Amino acid sequence: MAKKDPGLARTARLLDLVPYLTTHQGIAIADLAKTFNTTVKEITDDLNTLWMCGLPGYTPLELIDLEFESGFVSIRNAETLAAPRALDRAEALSVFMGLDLLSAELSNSNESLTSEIANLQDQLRTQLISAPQVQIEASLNSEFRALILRAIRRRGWLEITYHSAANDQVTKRNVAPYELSQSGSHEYLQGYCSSAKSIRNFRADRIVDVIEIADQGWPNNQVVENEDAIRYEVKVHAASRQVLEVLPQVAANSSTATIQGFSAPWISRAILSLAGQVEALTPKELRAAIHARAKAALENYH
Amino acid sequence: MSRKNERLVNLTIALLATKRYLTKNEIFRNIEGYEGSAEAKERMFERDKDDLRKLGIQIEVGGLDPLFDDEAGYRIRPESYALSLRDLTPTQVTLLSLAAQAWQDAAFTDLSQQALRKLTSIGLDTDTSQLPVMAPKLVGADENLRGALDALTSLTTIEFDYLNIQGVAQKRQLQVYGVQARKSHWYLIGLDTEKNAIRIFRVDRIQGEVVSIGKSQSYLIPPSFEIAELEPAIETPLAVLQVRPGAGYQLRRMATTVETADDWDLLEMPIFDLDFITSLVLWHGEDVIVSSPPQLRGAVKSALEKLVKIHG
Repeated sequence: MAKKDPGLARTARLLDLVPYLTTHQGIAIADLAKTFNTTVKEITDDLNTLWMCGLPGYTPLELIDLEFESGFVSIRNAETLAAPRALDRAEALSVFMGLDLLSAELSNSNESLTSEIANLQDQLRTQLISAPQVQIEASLNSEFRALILRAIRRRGWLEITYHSAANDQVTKRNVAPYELSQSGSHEYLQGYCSSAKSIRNFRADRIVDVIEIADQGWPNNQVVENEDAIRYEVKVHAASRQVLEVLPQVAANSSTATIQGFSAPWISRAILSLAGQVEALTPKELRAAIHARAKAALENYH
Repeated sequence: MSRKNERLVNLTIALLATKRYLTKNEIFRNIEGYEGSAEAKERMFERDKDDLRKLGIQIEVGGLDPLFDDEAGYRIRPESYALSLRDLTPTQVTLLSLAAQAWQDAAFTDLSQQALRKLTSIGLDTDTSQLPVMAPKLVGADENLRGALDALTSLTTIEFDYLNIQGVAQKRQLQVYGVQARKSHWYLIGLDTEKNAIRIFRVDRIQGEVVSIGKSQSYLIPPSFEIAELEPAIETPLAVLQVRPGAGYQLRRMATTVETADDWDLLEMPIFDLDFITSLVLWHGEDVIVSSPPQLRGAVKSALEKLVKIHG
């Protein structure tokens, strides 16, 4: 692909510099280098090259006229290349996918914007010969995201309605959010939870509702992450894909594994959901809890 | 290197500026940088055309005169060269910029930055006043996602080892038709060339690297292909579950109907995937009973019997 050929990447940059300079007359060389993700030296080389280019004849009348000795760049006599180049297929796809996410985050909350997005996507699709199919789901809708980002900036508080899969409960918690971050394939909200009196991670896609609330006051003593680790040992009866995904600590070819977990309810539910492919060996309380739950569930069928 | 870049830029300018097709001879005579023997010039020009095409620039080939079928000529149409998103409003420019920025630190960062530079070159101001505060983010820095998106872009068949349900890696060949981000995972959808059927693959289940096989532009995405139509149809069998009041939040969200009662609520939900529903029911332990179908009821019962036995 073109991106992997440094010579061609340079040609592309030369062509793209002209329209950018045309609409950003007087830009500092350093800023220009930053925009194009390269060094001042490279950009200066580019400008020196462009300065030699123009229409056939190549007299000063035909050549691109560049001024950059002052450290600020201006361009003249470059009308032929002045229009930004069309997006190539990959660039169009990247924007198309980003628009899909935007639309998903806005969901039904803003119809005029989602229809603008659909319109832009239609325009992009006509440029993509053999158009790929794209479907992006949002982990957090734009309204919640906006409230969370605002609270992070203002160090404000939110009441978050959250679904905990481990406890199979939906609860409201007062949270002072710190950040939204990625871990593995999930997005998390991290913040101080005044109900738990500690820092907690909330999976973004399990946030059911977000509202702004008044300041709850920060704790006086040092906040610590106090989720107690639970070490447990499992025996693997079948190393299926599901087992490897639910308990990534299990090695594909080993029959036992010692795993660090944080929530007893989560661990027993996870092992139940694996339908006997994995057996809990220790601690014995965990083993007993799983036995009791499975037995109680089975009795429902008698 | 710099000479070649200069020549390519000059060639682009000349082919864009011309109102008629330029013959090779005109090109060699007038455009700076074509030097050496006739053969050398010829070779140079062929490579240059290839390079410009790789950059996505369409060079049109045409006859000089329809009456005399003589030498072919070349030009670049400004309308195909230039960004065709026209008459954009400031709000639209903002939406496009946000969309391009969504790829920060993810698979398509470099490409979306290039797109963003082209969009800002339009020179239109953005307008965020119409927009809610947004910072959409596409997650996925996986090398294999990038490999698959490149394949989708260039229409190149790919090959990879894929972890099957038994946990064994198998070689698969795929013509990617589309991508999907769902439940925090990336999926590739396309034609499995060995099975000759549409298949879905989860990107993080690919073991090792995605490898291109064969040439680019080696297939077309059928225009009739729609991801949305792959969604399970209405004929999906329904499960009937009894769920304790207050329990089974996730099941309730998936349910098509919920009837509340004193001891047990009655839920109906589509069975998209029997294994998935079995696990989900087991996750909820004694708070859920499967009423029907017998197949699901049997799967859950035998799993529970096994769990009791091995933990006894």
